[in-house]
Amino acid sequence: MSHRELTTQRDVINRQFGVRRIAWLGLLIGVLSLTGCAVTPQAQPRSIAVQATADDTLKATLAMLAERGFVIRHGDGDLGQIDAVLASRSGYEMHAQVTSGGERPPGLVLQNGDTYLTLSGRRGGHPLEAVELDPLFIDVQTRLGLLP
Amino acid sequence: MNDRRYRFGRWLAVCIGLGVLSGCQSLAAPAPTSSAGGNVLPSACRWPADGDPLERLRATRDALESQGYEILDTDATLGLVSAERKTSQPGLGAVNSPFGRTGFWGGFGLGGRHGYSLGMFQNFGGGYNTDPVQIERVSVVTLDATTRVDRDSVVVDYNGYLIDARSYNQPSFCQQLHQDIESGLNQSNAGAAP
Repeated sequence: MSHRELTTQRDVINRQFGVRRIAWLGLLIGVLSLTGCAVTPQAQPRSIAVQATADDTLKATLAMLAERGFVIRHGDGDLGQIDAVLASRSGYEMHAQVTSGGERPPGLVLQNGDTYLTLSGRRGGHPLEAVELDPLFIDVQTRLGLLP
Repeated sequence: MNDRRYRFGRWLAVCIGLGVLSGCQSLAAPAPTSSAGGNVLPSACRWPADGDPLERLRATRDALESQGYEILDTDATLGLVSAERKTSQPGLGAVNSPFGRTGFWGGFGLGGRHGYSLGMFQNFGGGYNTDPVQIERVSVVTLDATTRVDRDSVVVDYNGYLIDARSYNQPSFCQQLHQDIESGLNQSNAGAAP
């Protein structure tokens, strides 16, 4: 008799724990899915390494952006950085960085020298893909006289 | 006889339709990141520059400031002047929608302006200054003896709604800026000579 009472009590306790665990799991999944929605996709930088000085590469990049109608918002020759925007229904934001030597930048796709040019951008909040960034790299290399 | 005429008319309509459609496609400006988007700048917005780069930078800054632009960033190594101008556009937001502003308070279509809402319509929704604002962003880059001017324009309603956004490289603006910069350089040269 007493033995049966004990088992039913244990069952009740076990069931309570089970319910609580499921509730916590549900809460965790809910929180995770919410934060998943809040995170904006990261811009995917893409880099090439060219056989030219950092100064020339930065100037060629600046000329390329200006010739394409981008408005240069910030530029720093010492830091080797350019920020450009262009208004349209879904506005463009571009960021360019030129480094010389040092560590390999993320998304390196071409290694021809030791001056790294990294481009990343967004269009209407969504990161620009390789298809959209590659014509810009080709333009910069043409301006540097590296392409035939 | 009648049948043939109908058929001819139908073919004509198809041809005109196709022409209109393909015409629209070729008129669209190339995307700025496409390989064809490399030369979108009007020729008036690109001119050869010589002389002292610092003098030219100062003249550019003065010319932009005299047009009401606010200088945001300059860089002497890159020959860059970046500026922005905000102008209020009274009445622009009211024209766009037949029911007036469709903001938080104004989003009704029934009865509309002529009824009960006339007085309240103008008071709700954001205080006194509810005109849309046009923001013109401009950058002047002087690199390797060439000056390039880029400008774009964004029109935003007071509640942040984007009314219009476009590239705004007008040749007339570039010509005016070019003249202002050159006259500023001439003045400073004339002032420095004696």
